[in-house]
Amino acid sequence: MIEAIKYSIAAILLAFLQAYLIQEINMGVWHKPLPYVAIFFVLNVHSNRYAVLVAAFAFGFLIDLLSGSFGMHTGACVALAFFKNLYDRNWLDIDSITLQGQQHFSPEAKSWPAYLQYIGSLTFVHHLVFFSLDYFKADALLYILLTATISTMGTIGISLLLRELFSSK
Amino acid sequence: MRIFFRWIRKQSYLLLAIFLFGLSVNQVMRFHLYQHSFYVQSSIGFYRNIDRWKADIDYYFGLKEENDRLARENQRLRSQLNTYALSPDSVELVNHFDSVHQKPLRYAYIQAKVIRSNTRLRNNTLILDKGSLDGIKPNMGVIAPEGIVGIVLQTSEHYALVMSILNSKFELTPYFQELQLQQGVLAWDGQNARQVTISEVNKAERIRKGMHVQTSHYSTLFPPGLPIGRVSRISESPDNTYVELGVTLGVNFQRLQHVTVVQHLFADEEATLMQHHQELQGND
Repeated sequence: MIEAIKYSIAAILLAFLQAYLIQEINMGVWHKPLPYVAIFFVLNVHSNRYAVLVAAFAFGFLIDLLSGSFGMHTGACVALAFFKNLYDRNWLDIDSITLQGQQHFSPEAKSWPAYLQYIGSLTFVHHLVFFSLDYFKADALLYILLTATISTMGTIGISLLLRELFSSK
Repeated sequence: MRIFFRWIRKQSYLLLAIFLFGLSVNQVMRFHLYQHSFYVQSSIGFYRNIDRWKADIDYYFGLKEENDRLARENQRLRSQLNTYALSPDSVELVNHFDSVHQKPLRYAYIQAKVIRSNTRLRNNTLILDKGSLDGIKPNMGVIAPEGIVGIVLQTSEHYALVMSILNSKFELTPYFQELQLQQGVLAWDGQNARQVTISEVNKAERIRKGMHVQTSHYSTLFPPGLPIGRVSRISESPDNTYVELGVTLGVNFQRLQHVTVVQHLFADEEATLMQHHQELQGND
């Protein structure tokens, strides 16, 4: 219960941060980072997958409400939650993480390259869906891929920064 | 059924994800102008293509019937030609056969295919696969071999919207071939897709069941003498000097595939003359 409240507060803070700060900063045409996805990386790997999916919908909806981008963040968050579940079940060694006494995947649980691959693929899926809904054009595939790739790098950078700032150390 | 429910239970996570994602996309479509217009345009194109495919399939399976209909039309036209050849006065009525009579054309014809048609509404319409690029304009008459079909209401570049005769706003003065009489108002009462009514026909006229009803000389949209249908019902009431007639239509709108759009080449000239006449009357 306490964990759920903790996640909810963090989600609301990240939503406000995205809508009122990061979105307002012009970082170039191709670079539109969406660091709120960081909250998905620290979700407990044993969380109920249905609850995560519904919570992702609500979280995306909140960001859409605040930033006036109805549906885009919501769709991207739902896709991310779905893909995260797929990744956790098929490619992540959940038992190893649990045995190490951790609740979510971290560099300490395996290695930095594995961690970067994990957050990189999740972020890319999220950004790909987000920019596809934004451009909404089959001819713009190249722009979508380019924006998603560059923004993924930016998002990962900010997420790692946030991780260092708020880590328990 | 049990297998179906088991499948739903098994795939519930995927279905929930699809449902939530669908809701998100729905929001995107509804609240973003660009995405909304893209969606609307794509859906219109999609539905028009479906209509076209459906019409093609219907057309293929209706070829035999279509052949019979064309044969009947040929027969009717041949008999009309004979009539006109025998009667010099009637040449004026058909001066659109002009290679024969060397006179200016009065009507031009554009062939079109019906790609959407409804008959169950109060105001029925049809959509044709030809539009303004093919020369179709609003207020042109639309006919089929068995009779008149309607009037063009609107056109886009490739399509035309037609108000069918099965429309509460459609009215026409009919011509009774056997009596050589132009009288009454032909309209649709919304009851039966194969029948229209004619009101305001004088009781004294000797109307009988089975008489041919055609387009009159008063119409600026249709050439005179085109078939409409046959009188199938005569309703009289003792306290009324008029009779109401039921006319079974020649055109079966549920099976209509090919139509001809009629362009009255002197329509503008006629309209100008009428306007001039009205102005003169106004000055008096």
